[in-house]
Amino acid sequence: MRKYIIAGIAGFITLSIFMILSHDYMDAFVTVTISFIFVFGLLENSDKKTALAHLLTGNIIGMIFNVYYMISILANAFDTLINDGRFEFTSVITFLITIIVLLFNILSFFKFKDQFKKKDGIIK
Amino acid sequence: MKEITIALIGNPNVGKTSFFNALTGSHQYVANWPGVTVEKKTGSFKWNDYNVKVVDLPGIYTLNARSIDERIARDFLINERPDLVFNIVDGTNLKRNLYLTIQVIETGVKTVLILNQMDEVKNLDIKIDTRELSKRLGIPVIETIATKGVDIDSIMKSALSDSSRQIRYEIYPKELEDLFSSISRDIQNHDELKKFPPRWLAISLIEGDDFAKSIVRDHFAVPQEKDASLKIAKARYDFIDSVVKQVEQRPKEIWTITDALDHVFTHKILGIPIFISIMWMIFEFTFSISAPFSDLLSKGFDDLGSYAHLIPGWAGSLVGDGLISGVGSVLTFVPLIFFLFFSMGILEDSGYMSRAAFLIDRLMHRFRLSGRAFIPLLLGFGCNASAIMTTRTLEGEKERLISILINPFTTCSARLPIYAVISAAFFGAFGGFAIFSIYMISIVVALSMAIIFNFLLKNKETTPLIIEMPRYKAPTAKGLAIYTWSRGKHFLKKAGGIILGATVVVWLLSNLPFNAPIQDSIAAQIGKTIAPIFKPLGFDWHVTLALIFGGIAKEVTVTTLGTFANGNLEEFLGTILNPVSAYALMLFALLYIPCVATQATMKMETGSYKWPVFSVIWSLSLAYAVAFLFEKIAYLVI
Repeated sequence: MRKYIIAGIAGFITLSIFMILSHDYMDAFVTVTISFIFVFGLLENSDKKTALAHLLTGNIIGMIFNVYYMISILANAFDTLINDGRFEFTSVITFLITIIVLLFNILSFFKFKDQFKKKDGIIK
Repeated sequence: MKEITIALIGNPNVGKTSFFNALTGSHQYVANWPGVTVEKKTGSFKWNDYNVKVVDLPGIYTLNARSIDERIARDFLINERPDLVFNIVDGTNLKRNLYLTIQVIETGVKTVLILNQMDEVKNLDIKIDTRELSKRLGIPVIETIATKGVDIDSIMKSALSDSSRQIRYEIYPKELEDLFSSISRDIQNHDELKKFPPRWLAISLIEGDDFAKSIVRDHFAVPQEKDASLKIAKARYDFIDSVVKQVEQRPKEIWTITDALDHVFTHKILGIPIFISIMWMIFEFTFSISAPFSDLLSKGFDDLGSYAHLIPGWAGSLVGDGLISGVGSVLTFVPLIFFLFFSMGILEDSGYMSRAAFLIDRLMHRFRLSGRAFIPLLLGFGCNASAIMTTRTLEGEKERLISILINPFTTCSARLPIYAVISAAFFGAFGGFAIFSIYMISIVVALSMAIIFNFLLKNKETTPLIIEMPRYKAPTAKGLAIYTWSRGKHFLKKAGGIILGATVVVWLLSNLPFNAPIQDSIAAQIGKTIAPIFKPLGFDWHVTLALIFGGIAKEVTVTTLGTFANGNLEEFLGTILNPVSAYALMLFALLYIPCVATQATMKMETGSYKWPVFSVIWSLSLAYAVAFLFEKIAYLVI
């Protein structure tokens, strides 16, 4: 679980750096917040239950953010196409990182989600 | 056909409205947070020889009502005496729900317990012996999953079957029962009191309930029993404990995904940043995704307007410059409004609203408001008029009044077209951020006004926040569609009614006398007469007139400017405003007078013209002061 949390932190910190560089400060704020959800999971690693809570919540908000961000980028591209007649796709690298982080979020979420169903696991 | 009335009563957020919709085929708005229903709603259906009227009551925890929504539910049950009560109970929370069940049974109205959310009961591995529950309470118990529909035939058959031979267990100790019997006898000796259920009235009098006291007044002296209300409550809880022990089996120490999410969402450090992040995502998603649709509509209306000018004479001008340009300038924002409601629907249906209220509770107390007052504020982003009605859940009268007065400072969806058109014209890529800043300012202003109104009204009490934390749910497509349509359609109705009417009036005013240039029109004369008042804010007569018409409905501000613009609003705005005065206009539109519908709701909820008049004067003065100061400071800085 620990390595998944660290991967989550790395993914969202990378995203936040790219967003700050493109002056997208509010989205950077969201990614930093999600990184901190994972960081607190790492800090609470002594309690497996709460660490797992941070991992799951980070992944859920992460998925929501990544989907929202991808929709925003695509919507902006289509808006430019309608107004200026050209398809301008900005933030290509950030968009690609978003896809990678989203895939990680999905994988990580489904890997650990079932912990809540095990009667001999988290639920006792 | 026999007429019967069924009342739906239960704790908040147990699925009463879902059950109501399933029974009556209605599409009343359902949400995954408590306090959605603040007034009774009626519907009907036919079953065999019965014409059944169904009344959906606001959610309550007890019949000892304090807030207005609670009083509505209690008064209906006691004064209207429905033929049947369906007590909707959340099957996953039997222990908490049964307190109200006991009180409802005590009213003597034939009661059926609807054990709802049985799908969740199964998911959580909880087992409920409904036959034993029915036996112990002495009323029929029916299991349902209201969101997936209900079997009306079996429910009605069970409800109307004779259940008088069922066993009912004693709840209260003998000394209390003796006291109830003695008071019940006194009640039955007074003809005026016979219409009230004697056992409920007797118990309520011993509990010291103000409503019960007001019924009895000085008909007879109520014997006083020390700590009677505590003894009654204890007896009820003991009974509930014993019932639940007998009928329910649940796995120990369940830690669900809801618990995991709550651990993080209500975290003392992470909670607020997560809340801000979610709000940002909602607004930015709304603006980004609606932009292409709005632009397509805008292009469509431009083309339509140019075709309309092919009609010769004044008719072409009325259709092209008036109707299409004016109404079209607002209809362009239909996608924005619908996506905003869609996003808010996700927020409400997911169950996050209660967590947001919990998070903000501590902050709200600093403004002498409870977290409960936060929900009307958040709903104010949709529509102030309907949000003001949800202040009924607040118990303190002054706290409620303050919540009503600050609500118009939260920026409703009708103001969104104003911000959107200004942002698009002046702020380019920073348009989304400009609008988000207005939303943040609106919260800051609303809370600052709460401090001032608390001081002016000498409010010293706040309602403690006791709020249901519903389980998180993935919003359903059907639920979101109902929510988005039920809210968004008001915008369309307004566009076809008040906005269309106002557009025609504005077109007439700006074209009379006929063939005169617009600078000499009646509209220009009115605008120029008032414009000196707004000149210090950098607004010319076009903006002045648009703001005056916007007092009817905020969208009319945009249609008025659209009528003057002759098809290209953004370009026209560039000729009458600059970025500073444009942002000042956004601030002014945010703060100035509540619309007519909001003023009417204020009057209805406060029972006085005094408060809407006060609100108009106060907000207008504040808007002027803030816009003026902003301009002066901005010009100094730039």
